[in-house]
Formats: sequence, structure tokens, C-alpha cells
Amino acid sequence: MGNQVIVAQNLTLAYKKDEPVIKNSAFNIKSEDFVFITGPSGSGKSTLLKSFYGALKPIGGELIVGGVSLHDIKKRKLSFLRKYLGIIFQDYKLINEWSVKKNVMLPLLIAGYSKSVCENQTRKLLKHVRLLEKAEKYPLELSGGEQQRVAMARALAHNPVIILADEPTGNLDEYSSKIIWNLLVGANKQLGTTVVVVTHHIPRDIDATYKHFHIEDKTVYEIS
Amino acid sequence: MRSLKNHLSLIFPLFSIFFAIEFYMILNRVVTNYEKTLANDYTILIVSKNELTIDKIKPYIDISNLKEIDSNLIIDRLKKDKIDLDFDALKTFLPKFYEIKLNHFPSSNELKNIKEKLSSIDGINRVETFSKSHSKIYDLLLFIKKILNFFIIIIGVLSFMLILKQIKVWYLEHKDRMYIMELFGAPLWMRSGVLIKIAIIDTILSILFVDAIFYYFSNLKILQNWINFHLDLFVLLKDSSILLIVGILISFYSITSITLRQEQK
Repeated sequence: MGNQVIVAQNLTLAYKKDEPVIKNSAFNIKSEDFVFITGPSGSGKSTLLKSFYGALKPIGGELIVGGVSLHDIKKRKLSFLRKYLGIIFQDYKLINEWSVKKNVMLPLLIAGYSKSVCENQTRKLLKHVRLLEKAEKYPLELSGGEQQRVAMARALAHNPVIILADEPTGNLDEYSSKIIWNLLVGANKQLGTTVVVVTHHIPRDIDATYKHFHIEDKTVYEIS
Repeated sequence: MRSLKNHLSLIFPLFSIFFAIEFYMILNRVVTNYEKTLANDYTILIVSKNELTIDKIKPYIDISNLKEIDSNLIIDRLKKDKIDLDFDALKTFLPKFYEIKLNHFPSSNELKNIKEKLSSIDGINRVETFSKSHSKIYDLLLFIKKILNFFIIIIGVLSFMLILKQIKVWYLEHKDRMYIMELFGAPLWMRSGVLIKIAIIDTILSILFVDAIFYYFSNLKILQNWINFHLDLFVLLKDSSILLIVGILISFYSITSITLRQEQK
């Protein structure tokens, strides 16, 4: 297994037992890989990503993330695993009742860092995503692009081993998209973070060597 | 306004439970005190051929006092009734009369046991426990206690169901936030922190309401005279601590069970 962070063997995923979304697929993702997962709408890209963070358990085969089998994973172990993941959603999934600063702080609070460490790290990240001046604002006061940058900062806050991003730039303008891609590539290159991105289109000007998985007919194929 | 309604929806059932518990504790104190008074007033009469001492009785039953009744009192009474007898001769034949005081007010079964044990002691001819009048008072006490326990259980169950319902409403209100926290690996206590916070605030408010009501009534002169006991019916610090522990346990149990059940769905 070596430095493989995600291993799938005969993986079958389904919401209903008789209707698999992904069937008997096998693939590996190594540490420090930058991976794109593409496929037509409804092909199961987001479902596959969901299975990586344990929101959907495999009904067949084996799926190992960070050395942990997700087949019959217990809640406590899943919570432990998720502390090492950074997740970015197309709909941002920010806590609207919390300020931008507190949203970014969330993974650090969960990891149990002291208040001063949380404050410093949050400040750095918000500066990085060019939103420091909006730290005290609430998510609904920000544009879509800004909200996704907050989500990006949150995903990076605790220096995760794997970043899982579901259509991170799907609804964004060019400016915000560029910032998001730069941050993902930067995390991969500078911090060695494994990045898995589900997307419709791979950006042409991306400055990274990447692997490309494509989903077709319920099967995951590695293209390059 | 909505927030106030939400709080009242939890405060009301918590208040009902606390009120019932506090009422139970107070009534228990009244009953216990009443039992003590009864025990003080209650005596068992023994007629014995031999002389008895407290040490002779103690191995059989738990008594607080043994007192010999002066035989002259009995003779004086007979004299008053103008019965024609040789009282000096009678005095030599008369057995010894004793009255016993117990350490606590016995139940009817205990009383039967006591009578049997005393009768088995060598020399004792007769034991009078006045069981008829005894059981009437004691049965009434037990009846009051049973009715109260029954009502407390009903109030407790209904209120607990209301609490579960309200916690579920809160859970649904905050479920998005809790789900996001779960995605980042937050433990249960952290995810349900917002519910715990509201529940603790409402528990404290409910206790304050109950405290205020019972403090007011326990200090009413009319009530004290009516109950006719000189004891502290309402012990503010002790009672509030008990209610706080009960409230926190109920809240934690409801929040944990609702959160885990909803997350499984």
C-alpha cells in the first residue's frame, strides 16, 4: 500500500441496494496526488466523493481512506478520520449564524487548539484568501465567490492530509475561481496535501501535474 | 417572540417536573417529621411477671426507652372506681407494667413482628400495641404517599415527552449547523453544544421559578401554622442542587438520544 491514501477495490456505492451508482471499481490515490474526477451529470462523481468522507458507506468491495476501512466504520472512528480531511462543497456549507472568522476556525476548534493559535491561523488564512477585512461579517453578507473562499480557508485551516472538493468553482466568477485553483495547487505543491476534485471541466491553465479519473457506466476509469 | 416561545416550550415541562419533585421532597419532610412525632407519642404496653430492663429488650427490638409504670397508679385507679378489694394483698400479686417507646414509627407488619418478639421474652404475659389506632394513621400516611408518587410519575412521563418533543424541534432548527460540524469531525458534545447551552439556561430558569414559588409559600405564616411543624420545609441550596442535577441529567439524556436517533435517520 505504501503511500496510498485512498484505495478502492471492487467498490460499489448505492443509495438503494438494487440501484448501484458506482459498481465494482478499483483505483488508488497516492499521497501528494492531485486528482480530478470527471463524468457526465448524474454519473456518480459527488457520490464517490461523499464515500471518501464517510457520508455514504460502500455496499460492496473495499474503500480505505487514510488507512481506515470505511465499510463498517464506527461513528467515533469516522469523526477521527474527518479531522484529517478538508472538505469543500459546491454549496459552501458555511454556518450562517457564525461569523466568517468563526467558520474558518471550526476545524481548529474541533482539533482542540488554543484560542490564540486559532485566532492567528484564521487571520493568516483569511489574508491568504483575501478576506481579512470581512472576518467579522456573516456568510450571507458575502458574495458566492467570497463564501467559497471562506470555505476554502476552512478546509485548509487544520492542514489536512486530504482535501476533497466537490465542484469548488462551479458557481464562481473567474476571479474567485482563480484564487481557489491557486490555493488548491499551492496546498498540493507546498504542503504535500493530496487533493481530490470533482469537476465538470478541468481548467486548462492549471499549474499542476494531475491524475484524471473519469466515471462512465458506473465505473471509475483512470485516464492519465 | 419565536425564541421566547421556544424557551417556554422547554421551561414549562421542566418546571412541572421540578415542581413535582420539590413538592415530593417537601411532603416527604412533613411525613417524616409526622412519623417522628407519632413515634414519640406512640407507646407499647407490656405486662410482665419478671423485672425488665432496656438491655433485656434491646436484642429483640430497637427501642428508645423502657419505663416501668408505678403499680400505685393502677391501684389508685381501682380505688377511685370504689371496687372492694384488699389492695395491699393485690399489690403483692400484681405483675409489673412497662411502657416502651420505639426509635421510629413502625409499619403494621413491623408491629406484628414486634408483638411476637416481645411475647416470646420470658416472663412477658401480655403486649398491647394498640394496633387498631396505629394502622389507621399509618395507612393514611401510606395512602397519601402512594397517591403523590403516582401523580409524580404521570407528571414526569408527560413532561419528559414534552421535553423530547421540544429538543427535537431545536435539533431540526440547528441540524444544518450540526451536520457541518459533523463533517469536520466534531464530537457529539460539540455538535450538540448549542442545544446543551439552551437546555442549561432553561433548566436554571425553571429552578429559579420553582425556588421562588416554594420560598414564598414556605415562609407563609398561615401555612406554617396549618402544618403545625417547626421545621424547614424548603431547603433552598440543597433542593436547588438536587433539581439542577435532575434537570441536567434529563437535558443531557434527551439531547443525546434525539441527536443520535436523528443522525441515524
